[in-house]
Amino acid sequence: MIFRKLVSPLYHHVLITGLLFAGLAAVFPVFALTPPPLTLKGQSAENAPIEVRLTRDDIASFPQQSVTTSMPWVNGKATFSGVNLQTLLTHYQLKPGTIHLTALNQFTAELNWQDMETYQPVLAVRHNDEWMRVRDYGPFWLVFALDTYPNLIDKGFLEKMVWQINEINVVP
Amino acid sequence: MKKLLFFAAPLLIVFTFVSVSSLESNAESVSKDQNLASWFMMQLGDEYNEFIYQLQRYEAGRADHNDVLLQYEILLSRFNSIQVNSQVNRLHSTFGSLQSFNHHYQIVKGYEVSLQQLTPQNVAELTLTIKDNYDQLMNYALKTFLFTNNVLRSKLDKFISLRWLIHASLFSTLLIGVMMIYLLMKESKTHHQLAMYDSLTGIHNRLWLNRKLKDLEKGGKDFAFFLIDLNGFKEVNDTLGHGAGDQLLKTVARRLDNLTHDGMYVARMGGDEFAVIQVFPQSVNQAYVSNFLMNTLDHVLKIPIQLRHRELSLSASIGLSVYTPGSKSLSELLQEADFAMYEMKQQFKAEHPYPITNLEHPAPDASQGFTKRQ
Repeated sequence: MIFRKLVSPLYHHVLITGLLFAGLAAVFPVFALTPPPLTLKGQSAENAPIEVRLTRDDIASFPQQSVTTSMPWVNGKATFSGVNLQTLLTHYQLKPGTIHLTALNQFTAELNWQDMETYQPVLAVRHNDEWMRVRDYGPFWLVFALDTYPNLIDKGFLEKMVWQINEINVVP
Repeated sequence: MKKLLFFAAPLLIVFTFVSVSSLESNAESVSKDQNLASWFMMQLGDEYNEFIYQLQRYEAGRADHNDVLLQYEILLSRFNSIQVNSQVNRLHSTFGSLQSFNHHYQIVKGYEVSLQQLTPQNVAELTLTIKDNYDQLMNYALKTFLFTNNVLRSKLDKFISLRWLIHASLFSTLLIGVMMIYLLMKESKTHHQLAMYDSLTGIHNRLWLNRKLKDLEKGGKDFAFFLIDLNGFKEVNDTLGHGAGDQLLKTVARRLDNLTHDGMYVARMGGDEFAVIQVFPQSVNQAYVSNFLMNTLDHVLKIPIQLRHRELSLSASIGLSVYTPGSKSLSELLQEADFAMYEMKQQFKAEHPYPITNLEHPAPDASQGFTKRQ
């Protein structure tokens, strides 16, 4: 009552709006990092080049598969869900070949098509049902079922489990 | 003393091997840990560097907010991957680095709010702070994972002192080895000596004699060989018992041994048989010497032997064979002496059909004829 008498109506509006914005700013950060997308490259059966940009929502729109496994970078067992890599690659009708994986920090690894068929890794976007931020090794992490195939560690597959994937290039 | 050595030596060798291998594995693990730590820190340093680079690009207007935030996320993920890694626990225990690492991780996490509100105006100051922290982290890593770290230094000092210990034990093992070899050689010599003597009489035995004969043959020496057989010894053994027989043999052996001098040797062949060798000096009348010795032996052996309550008179059959280089083989020498002795023995038996040994107590006046008694 007293407040209304002391302050003019114009200032009152400005004050309310300002407070609202401050409140919003507190709740929503000023700038959020947009998850960097993934580039999928390869060749079609007729040797025409294919290049697709995929966001994590695109990946999430495929039928999802889950892998529960323990791994050196996470404490305990974790469940990862995403698209089966072979499903993804065949969906875009990429000609089979060596799969080159590149991460955001330029780290690279190679995966044989046959090994992919054998071990069926998952291109994961969720970790225990949560989106993976870049700091959580996301947005895209190629996960092998280490618990199901324990010999993968000795065969050097740990370095094929590339996280923060930036590009997948299938070279026939 | 010997038993102690035989026990200590293998123990020392085992200890040395165990120490050396544990030392090697220790050194290897420390070296591996250093390499691992360096690799982790290098990766971390790379991402941290890249992050600062993006901030500088942002300041120069060549990168946007997204680029900076993205690199920040990557840096956080790198910190996290080191923290979660199981190998890192071992590293922390080696280098004592847990607290510092976590501290730096917290500092980096603390940038988040400032980064969210990043503007071209506040970026310069933030970049300076971050660069400062980066330098601190890298300095810390350099000091910790290379040699100047105290924890590491104390481990390496232990390493060095252990090495001294191992060298010492290796040396003493060697020393003990040498001592053992020396002792073994001495013992072998002693055994060798023992094997050459007759246990009852204490004079040389047949084994020694055979060696001696071979040596003389090789040396091309001229010598006389006497084979001595005691007459009536068997009867003494049978009637007076082996104790008396032994006593008798000992006496004979002593007498013969007393005769020995340079170039003359005595041995017990076995049973009641003895052998004497007389090496002929240069240009001596061999026949004369042989004869002389023959008589001497005969005389010495005829001297009565005093047993406990008896006196015995023995005689001996002596066979002689003379050896000159090339004249005969050793076995022929022995055979000749043997035949000669046998002939004498037969002659003796013919002359004395009954045993000659006097088994009666000597008559009180009989002692007068004898001046020497053995």
